[in-house]
Amino acid sequence: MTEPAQCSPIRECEMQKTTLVRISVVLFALLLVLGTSVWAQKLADRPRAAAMRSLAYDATQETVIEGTVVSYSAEAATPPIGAHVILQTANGAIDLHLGGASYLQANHFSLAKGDSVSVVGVNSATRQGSVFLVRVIQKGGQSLILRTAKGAPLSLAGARALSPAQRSQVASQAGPR
Amino acid sequence: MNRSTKRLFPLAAILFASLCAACGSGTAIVGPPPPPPTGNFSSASLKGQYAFSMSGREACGNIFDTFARAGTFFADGQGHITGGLEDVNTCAGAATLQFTSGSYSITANGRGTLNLTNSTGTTNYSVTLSSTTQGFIAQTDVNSTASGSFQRQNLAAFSNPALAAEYVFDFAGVDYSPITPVPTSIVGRFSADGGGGISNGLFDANYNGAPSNQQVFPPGAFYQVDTNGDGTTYGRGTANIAGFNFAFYVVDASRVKFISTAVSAVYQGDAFAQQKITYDVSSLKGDFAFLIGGSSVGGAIATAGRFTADGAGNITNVVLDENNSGSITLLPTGTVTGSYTVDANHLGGGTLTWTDSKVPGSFSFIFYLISPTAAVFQEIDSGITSDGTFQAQTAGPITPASLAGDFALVWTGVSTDEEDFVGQLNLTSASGNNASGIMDFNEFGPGKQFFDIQFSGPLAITAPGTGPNTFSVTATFPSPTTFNFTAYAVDSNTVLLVGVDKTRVIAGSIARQP
Repeated sequence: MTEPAQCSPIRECEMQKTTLVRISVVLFALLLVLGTSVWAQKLADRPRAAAMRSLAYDATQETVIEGTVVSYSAEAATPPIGAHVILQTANGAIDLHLGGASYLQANHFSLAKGDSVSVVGVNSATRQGSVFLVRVIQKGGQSLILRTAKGAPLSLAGARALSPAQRSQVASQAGPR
Repeated sequence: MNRSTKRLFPLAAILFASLCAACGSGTAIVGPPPPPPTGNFSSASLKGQYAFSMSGREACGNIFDTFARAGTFFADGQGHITGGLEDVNTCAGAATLQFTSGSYSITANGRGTLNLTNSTGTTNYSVTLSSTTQGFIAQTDVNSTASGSFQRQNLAAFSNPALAAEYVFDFAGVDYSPITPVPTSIVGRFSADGGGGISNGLFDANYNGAPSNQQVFPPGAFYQVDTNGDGTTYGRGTANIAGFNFAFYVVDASRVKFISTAVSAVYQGDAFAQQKITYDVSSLKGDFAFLIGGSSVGGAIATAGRFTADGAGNITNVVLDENNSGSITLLPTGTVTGSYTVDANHLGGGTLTWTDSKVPGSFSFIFYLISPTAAVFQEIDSGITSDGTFQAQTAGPITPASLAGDFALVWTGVSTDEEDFVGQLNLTSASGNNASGIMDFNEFGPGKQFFDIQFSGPLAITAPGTGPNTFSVTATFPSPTTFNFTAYAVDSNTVLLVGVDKTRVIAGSIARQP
């Protein structure tokens, strides 16, 4: 059985301690790297950008369109489900999708034949044709955001998208939980 | 096999009413008196502690939002709710609420009503039992609609050690961080050590159609059955999974119901005990039926179908119906080719992809196997956030005779806004008008709660029955409404349904009653 190592003289002992600390730091760093690489080995590759299908929102293709409302339908017969506007533009009539009509109503935004509007959005193909997915709509001095930058309908959000104070106010009108 | 949209039928118009929840309480619409229900259920069938979970839409003033609830209720077998607890995540915030009273009634066919009272008031539900241990539930209030399921709890599983197992989970909802809503699906797996510790936590998130790639759980993952008495009484606990805080309710060691507890993210879903084996590409072999639902940039989306995996990375025999906010895609249209991988870490995750030569883009998915016969399933195509499950499908054949009998049903979807259905269906072995049933549903808003609505129609099985079958039922009251579905049978006891109407997106399932 070997005896425990002794430090002598003092300077030599301090050097050994310093060396031990350095070795510990290196070992710790090595363990971190190894640990990371172990997890890196465990993590599987996934497709990062899946191929785009019909009815997609490609934000890089956003355009601004101006025109006159030919008709407004809270529940149009053509997809996507929700409120649609047929907008007469300089280049012809375009079918606009606005999302849930209830979201327009909740935000006191109404549309009628003859209204002049400006919209920001993306033209998107569906299996049955094409539709312009509106992200922002402006009528007169009133502007309403209908989708997130990636195209998700804001009608999902409602109350939680409000400030805490506003949310507290509308929450007080909610029913039993 | 080419399939066209000619299979679709026009949908009778649904009465559109202004959605103004603050306008008044509305009046429930009750159908004509149905024939006396038949079956072996009664209020005595619902007895014990049942864990429940559901998600849906709520009205906060005149603004609508997504919400979820999970909890447990105690049924005494005589129509009384004697206790219970729930966690809710609403626009008013997340809260844990105790049930002070309640009542219920169950008729012979397993249908019934339930109300639960807590300090905020009383909430109302329709239920249908698929057995004495489980059933489907839909909230039927003017201000809130939701649907989900409930299962009898095993009190012996109300402890940390009882939950020592591998789990696969599927959480879905909306993330509001920082402000704008992001439809989100999170699927993954973890190992619970029996002492509250979690290891080998992996997940794949889909934020508004943008997949995260596989991620490790951030530091801080844990689970803890409550130590203040709620754990041993209700099976409640708290956890941090994939970086999010949850409350959970134990059904048993094989199933736990989760609900997020931050107002900035409303997630709800279940975790299922994972069969502990070394997963590889050979683990996925055979025929599978699937059902997923969620949201797209157009609105709601639901997809059902089936595929065959060969155990060597190849997918064949893909058939599906996708309803993307009324835009219908059917596969196969051209030639479909597909493949899959199972993660090299052997923990059960994987990817699955197929393409149709005549449909733009591809269909890409993440899965985590619960066992070689079941998995949670997440679509990751651009702009689509959709999730659900796939299950091993019977070799068949499925016939009208093998399906004949009684089923509990649950459907959820969107028309003017969310709608939730629960009811009972009877199938006969006849080849014609062989389906009839009765249901309650909530179309969210004043005067849009419907009870005892009878319906009938044909379920047309195309041999061998394991592919797409057409299911079309019509309710004549209060106005003629036809619901057109494609039905994919898992087996003779479970059938997955996806609506193929252009004016509503709806999906659900039917489960055989004893």
